Amino acid sequence: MMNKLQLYEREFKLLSRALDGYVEASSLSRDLGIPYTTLSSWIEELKYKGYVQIREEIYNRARLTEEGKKYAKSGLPEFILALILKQEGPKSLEELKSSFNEKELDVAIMHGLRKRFFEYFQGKLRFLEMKHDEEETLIKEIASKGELILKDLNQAMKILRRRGLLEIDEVKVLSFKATDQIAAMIKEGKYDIIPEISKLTSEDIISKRWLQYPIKAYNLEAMPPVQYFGRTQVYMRFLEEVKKILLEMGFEEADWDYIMPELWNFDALFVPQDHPARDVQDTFRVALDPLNIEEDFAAKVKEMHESAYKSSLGWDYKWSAEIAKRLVLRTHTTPVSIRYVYINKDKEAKVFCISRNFRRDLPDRTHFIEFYQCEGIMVGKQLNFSNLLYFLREFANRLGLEKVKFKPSYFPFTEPSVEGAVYHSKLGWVEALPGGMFRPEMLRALGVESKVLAWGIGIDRLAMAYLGIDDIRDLFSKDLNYLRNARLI
Amino acid sequence: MPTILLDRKRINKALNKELSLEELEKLLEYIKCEIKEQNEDELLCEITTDRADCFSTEGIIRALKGVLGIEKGLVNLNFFEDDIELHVDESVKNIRPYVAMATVRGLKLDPRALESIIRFQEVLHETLGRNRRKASIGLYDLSKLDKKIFFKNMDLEKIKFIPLEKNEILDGYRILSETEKGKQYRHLVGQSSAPVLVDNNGTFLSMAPIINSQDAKVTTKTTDILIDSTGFDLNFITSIVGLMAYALSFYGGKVGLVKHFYPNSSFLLRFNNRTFELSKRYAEEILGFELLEDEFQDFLLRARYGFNVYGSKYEITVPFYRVDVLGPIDIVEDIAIIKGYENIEPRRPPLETKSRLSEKSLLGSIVREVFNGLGFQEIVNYMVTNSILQSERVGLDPKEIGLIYISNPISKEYDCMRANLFPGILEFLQYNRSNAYPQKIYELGDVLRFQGNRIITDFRLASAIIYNSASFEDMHSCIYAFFKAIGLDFNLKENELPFLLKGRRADILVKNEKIGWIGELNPNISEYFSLYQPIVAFELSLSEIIKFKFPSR
Repeated sequence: MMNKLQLYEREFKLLSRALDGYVEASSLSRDLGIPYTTLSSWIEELKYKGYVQIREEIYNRARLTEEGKKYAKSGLPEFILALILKQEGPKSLEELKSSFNEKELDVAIMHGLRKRFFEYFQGKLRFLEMKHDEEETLIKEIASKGELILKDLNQAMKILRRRGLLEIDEVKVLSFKATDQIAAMIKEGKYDIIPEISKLTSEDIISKRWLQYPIKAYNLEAMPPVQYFGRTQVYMRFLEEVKKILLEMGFEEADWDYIMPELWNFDALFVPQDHPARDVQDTFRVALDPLNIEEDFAAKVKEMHESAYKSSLGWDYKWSAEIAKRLVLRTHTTPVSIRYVYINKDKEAKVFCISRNFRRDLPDRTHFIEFYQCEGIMVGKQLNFSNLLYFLREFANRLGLEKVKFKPSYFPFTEPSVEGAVYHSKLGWVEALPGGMFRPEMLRALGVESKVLAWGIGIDRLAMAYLGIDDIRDLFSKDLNYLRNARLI
Repeated sequence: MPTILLDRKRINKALNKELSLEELEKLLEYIKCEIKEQNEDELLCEITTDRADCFSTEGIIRALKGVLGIEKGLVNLNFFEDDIELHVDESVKNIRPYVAMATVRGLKLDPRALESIIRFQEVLHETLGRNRRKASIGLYDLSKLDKKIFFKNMDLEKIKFIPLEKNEILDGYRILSETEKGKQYRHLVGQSSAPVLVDNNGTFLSMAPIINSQDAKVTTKTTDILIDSTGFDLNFITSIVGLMAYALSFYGGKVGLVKHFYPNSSFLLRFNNRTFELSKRYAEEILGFELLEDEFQDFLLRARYGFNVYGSKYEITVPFYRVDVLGPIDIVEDIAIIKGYENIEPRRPPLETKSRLSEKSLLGSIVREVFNGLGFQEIVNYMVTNSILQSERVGLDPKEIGLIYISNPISKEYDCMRANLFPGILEFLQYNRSNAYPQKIYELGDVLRFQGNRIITDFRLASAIIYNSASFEDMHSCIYAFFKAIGLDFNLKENELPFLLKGRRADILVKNEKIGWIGELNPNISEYFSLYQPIVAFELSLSEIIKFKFPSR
């Protein structure tokens, strides 16, 4: 046994905190402002020297699931339901259906009954009393802290986990303490602090200090500090790649308004005014007074709908300018193409648009109210249907989809129409390449003699396949951790 | 897309083949129909909305016979003048002004056939009929009825019959309140009266758009059927009756034409085929391949058209039930379909064009290069957002920022279009409180505002840095780097934006024009988002920068 301990300063710093019992490493890392990975390598070194004892314990880490986060914000559904019953009196299930989705209502009732917030009475739910409870407090606490680390789970946590609001995993918690002998020596002042160079400085080099003192060896086992590089959002990166392919194929990019009169979103596409897609259930309307529409174009559209052409029967009804003036959020990017032709007429062109659209869909894993479309047109007098098939095949190939097959399809604004299916290794045949030739009625309304080959791709679905995502909402992920760490290849 | 149920056995029997599922699947592609589920006897299919004549097993069989060349050309339907008379009373004028009828006599209906026809009726109600609003369809056993039939509007209390779902006589009020169909379609008739079909003996056929009576119910014993359709456009409901007569006639009957007596006119309602002129050259020009004369004619016949040849022109006869054919182009598509899309050789489009990226994308890629290089993570938020987030929570007045509301939102959470990017950025930071700091993020995207009686789309860039010592100069230096990269000068001028901290807030000006702001977040605001670390942010208009950089556009 030596008379005096020879300690580096950093060793002393750690040991002096751990003289009277175990100290937890991650909280010490925060206290000292030393990265955890560095600190743990120092502890490892002290253990090797026999100066400290280490204890590793498994703790529970509780974090909120997506649903949990939602309820942390809105309140647990049984509280919401109880509040409604308290304020509005007893209600039947049927009456409550408008306030909740079906699954949520079931959950609210189940837990509300369990907590005796309300009861069934004559076929209705009747309010009893509402008590704030530990489940509610806990979910808020975790929401504010991000996570909770603790040895044992209490009852409320177990319930929240069963409800799918809490996810619990295990984390290792590292603690250490100086051995009794070392602790005694330090307490008695039996130590020297010896200098070392842990971080080489310019001063060390100039003064040649680096030759006089030991240089602390780097622990190759230690995890380096995490670094995040700046990067394009994963989905946007995918869209940029698609743009590149289209540029290589000679396309120019276009875009246009998101809010437009139905004239451009529907009527110009030869969609009759009583078509179900135009209902308030399917298309978002905007709370603004109608704006003026291009009168001359509207007149031609009216003609095309009302069958004033010799060569086509049209839809044979009375077309209304009022309906055509209603402002909607565009439901597809096709108006961008149509507008392009309306302005540029018979100029030969290849045009694409990758932009956002809006539909009044109920959100689920494959639908959201806002989504991207990638679509385009080719304009030229010599163009024909076989050219469209060529383009679709070529485009799919360049996207890395080797197998393509075509079958007949229907869209109100194109004839002939085609649906292209592509083969994806995981998903099998996916219908993702619709296309067609603008109908003659439309060409006439637009005032062109050219043929217009139009195509679109379900870019969201394709991106999900490429990125290995199975929920469309994750394309717009809010999770910084995912965005920072998503693989690029 | 309409969903239809097909009788697999009947298809196989009619085509005289044992088609495997794959063969059937391939064949159904010719009529844009796709199998979704199947069992031994039935196929649940989705079909595109155009081919209403194929919304039934009967129509599909006739179409497939053409595709396979088993039967070609126009379907042979026997018409005759029936002695049924339909009298339309003036009283229906303001409620449901038109009715059209035809009969089919000499039918042999087995239970599956009857089922199939009833399903066709339902699909027509939902699709072309727009849930019975635009057109309703009814079927009746002619043997139970007098030759003279009336369509009139009647007081609900005077309407008395046994509706299909029930087994007792109900009056009009009870029919509307006690039957399922009555409750479902109540809105289609008046408050105290409803249009009814009733024969000369006072036997009720139906409360027209809603429910039929038991008295003239069609069963498998029925051999003669009366078809009606009511609605607002005579041509349209005629085509509906035509579609139903076409399907029914599959079971061996003759189609009877009915005399219609309207207040000011009377006529025999006919189902007329239409004719269009079409040249082979036009078809070739559209499709991009040559067609031999024989081949062209064969395709037309297999698509079940008729034709006469006049020199180089064809006069094509389109059967009345092909409601989707509006002009020659629709016939051209059928030619391509019968040829088979897989037999069309794709040809390179003869176009030489120059590619060009939009200014937005061009500037966007520069922004990405700069901000990625500075260590920022790009994020993307939705344009449809929440009005409270856009205004109240960031201390802005919705009118002043020109917030555009959606009049039929799916929920309060998504009730407007974003007018600024930064509220979404703050929400993102709130969501990521448990992720590692510092956090440096940016977003590129469009915002919409209603200003000066115009809807303005503005392409924006916004960014934020958050960590325990984030400060003005952290972001100022980034903006400086960005403007240097795009070759523009800018300067800052103190402003009074309420969501920023006094003394740490400024407008960004280019050539004395305000194009954005920069500043440290007012902690009062960041507290709303449960963010307790300093935040420095900016938002600027890239649309304005495009104007400076590409003045010609």
